[in-house]
Amino acid sequence: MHVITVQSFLFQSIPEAIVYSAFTIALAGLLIRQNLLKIVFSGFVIACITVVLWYVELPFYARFMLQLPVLWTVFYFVFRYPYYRVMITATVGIGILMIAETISTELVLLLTDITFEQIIASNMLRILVPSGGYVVLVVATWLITRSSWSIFGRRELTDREEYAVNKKVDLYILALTMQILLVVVYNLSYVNGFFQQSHLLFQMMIFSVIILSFILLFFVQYIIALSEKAGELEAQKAYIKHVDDLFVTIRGQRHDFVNHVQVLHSFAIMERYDLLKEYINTLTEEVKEIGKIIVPGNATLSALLQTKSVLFKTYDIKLNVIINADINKTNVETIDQVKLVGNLLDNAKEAIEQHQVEQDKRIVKLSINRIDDQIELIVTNERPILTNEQIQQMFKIGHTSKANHMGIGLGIVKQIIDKYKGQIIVNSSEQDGTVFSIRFPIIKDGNNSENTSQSYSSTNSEQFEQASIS
Amino acid sequence: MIAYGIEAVLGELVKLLIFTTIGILFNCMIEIIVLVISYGILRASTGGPHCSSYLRCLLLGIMTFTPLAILAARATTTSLAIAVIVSVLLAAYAIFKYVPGEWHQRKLKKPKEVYQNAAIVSIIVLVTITIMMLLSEQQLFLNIGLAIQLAIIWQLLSITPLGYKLILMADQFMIDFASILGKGGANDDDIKG
Repeated sequence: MHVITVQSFLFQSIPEAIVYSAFTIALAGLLIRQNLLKIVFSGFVIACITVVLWYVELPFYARFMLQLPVLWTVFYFVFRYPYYRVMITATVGIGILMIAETISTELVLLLTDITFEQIIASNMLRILVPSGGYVVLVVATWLITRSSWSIFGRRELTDREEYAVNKKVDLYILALTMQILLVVVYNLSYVNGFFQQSHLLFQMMIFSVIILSFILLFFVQYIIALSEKAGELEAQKAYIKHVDDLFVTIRGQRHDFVNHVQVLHSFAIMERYDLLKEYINTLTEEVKEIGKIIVPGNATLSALLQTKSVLFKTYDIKLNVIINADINKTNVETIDQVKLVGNLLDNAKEAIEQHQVEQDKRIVKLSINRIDDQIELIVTNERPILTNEQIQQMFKIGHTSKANHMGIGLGIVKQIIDKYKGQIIVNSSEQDGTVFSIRFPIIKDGNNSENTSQSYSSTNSEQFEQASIS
Repeated sequence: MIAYGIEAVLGELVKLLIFTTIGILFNCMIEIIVLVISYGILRASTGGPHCSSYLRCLLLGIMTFTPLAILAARATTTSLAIAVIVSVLLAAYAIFKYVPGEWHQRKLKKPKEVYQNAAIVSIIVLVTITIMMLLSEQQLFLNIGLAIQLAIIWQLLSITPLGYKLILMADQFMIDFASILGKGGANDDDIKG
């Protein structure tokens, strides 16, 4: 009955369990060098339990099923990293060890004349033959440690909160690894004759695979939701960046303020009133510039236009903005407004740059107007002029007429328009230039809202000027 | 100082003598000696609670080691296997959580890790010996193995909060019992635990 001897316990079970322990710890992202004694101890405990389990009179399947939870518990007690992660790493570890050992033993049986009975009968062979398996594990551990890799992506996660956030993802990884392990064990058991030991265990394995598949199916939904959220997060980040850029512009102006005052002071002392007047004029223009583009009740769009206006200036392009209506009355979400306007303006700018439009034609106009029960957003650039064919091609994702452009900008615009059931008309003529006209239906219409937003705009604008001067 | 040393050695000798006598009486001499030695080895690294006097310590020792030794003398492979599983799991749990078991009268001289590592090494040695005994499958060796395991389990249990409470309770009970008999209270023989 007993295949374990003192020699195999000392020279096979214990080293194997220690190697397995080290591999599991490396998978979890803990440092081996710092946990050396703990690794030896946990390996020893695992080896002891595995050996003495042979002496507990339990049915075969119960003994088999008991081993995994015992492994998890030992790792949890010794290393104290979250139980979910213990379950994943210990399971993956044991799976890989089993596969490696089976392959190693089968290879020996296949390549040499040694039979399975001989291996069982000889102490030396019993220690040597499966050792190929844990040599693989030693190499894997070394590679993992060297590349600072871990199954959870990062090294040395000690933050409890981070664990909590990743719990669901961890559970998903656990279900997946358990499933893979079960399928592998199922297949391997035909190779090593394990399946003859317990048919009940086999039924349980198949049942577990089915349950795990359902769990994974459930998690797929969660992961899809998660990826959608990641997309939203990206858009939010872009929005925050626009707002940040605006603040940088304002802060820059405030920073220059002292210099301006000094210049004005010098002019006043020198009694050069002509220069003083001229300087004040330019200064007022600049201040106006920053407060000029305020979209009523829409800080996001204001921030975007402000940033674009500054950016366009560096390219020597003039941006004219005329806002006569509130785009928030449509159901287009703020994030999509930013994407829409941002892409249209970028597209116009890049077209101008690409065709090296002459100085007096480098103008981009943006206007938002109300037409009956629709909000119309128009972006015009005087040059270049497009042919009908170019217009038809331009909204295809991936299409680009520009050398350094990804060709997705206008594709995104088209997606947003489709999403909110809007319309787009593109005209291009010598007289009007290239005109993108987009319309969205008004959903939220309130009384006198136009006037309210207008007055809000002017108040806001005043505050803005005060803020930038004082 | 020398007097104190002689007193301590004499105390230990008396203890050993009493345990041997009990062992002969209950036909479990080897088991009880192995139990006391294993307990002592582990206790050196793990620490733990003490009774408030030498006499109470001796009494508690007799009360706990005697049944454990009798139990060890009736070992089977299954009972030893279960004892090993319980003791190694308990060790994995308790060593990193409760070692060193502090006692208010004694101050720790070395960092926590030194005691933990010493405890790990002693557990590894003791359990390896046990497994060898188990694999030999001879009755006497099984008895010795179980004695080692029971000593480990009892010592590790005593450093858990539950163990502290139990020993405190036993100590208090003995004080009360002694005062009923009119042999003085907590202060008369407060020498050593």
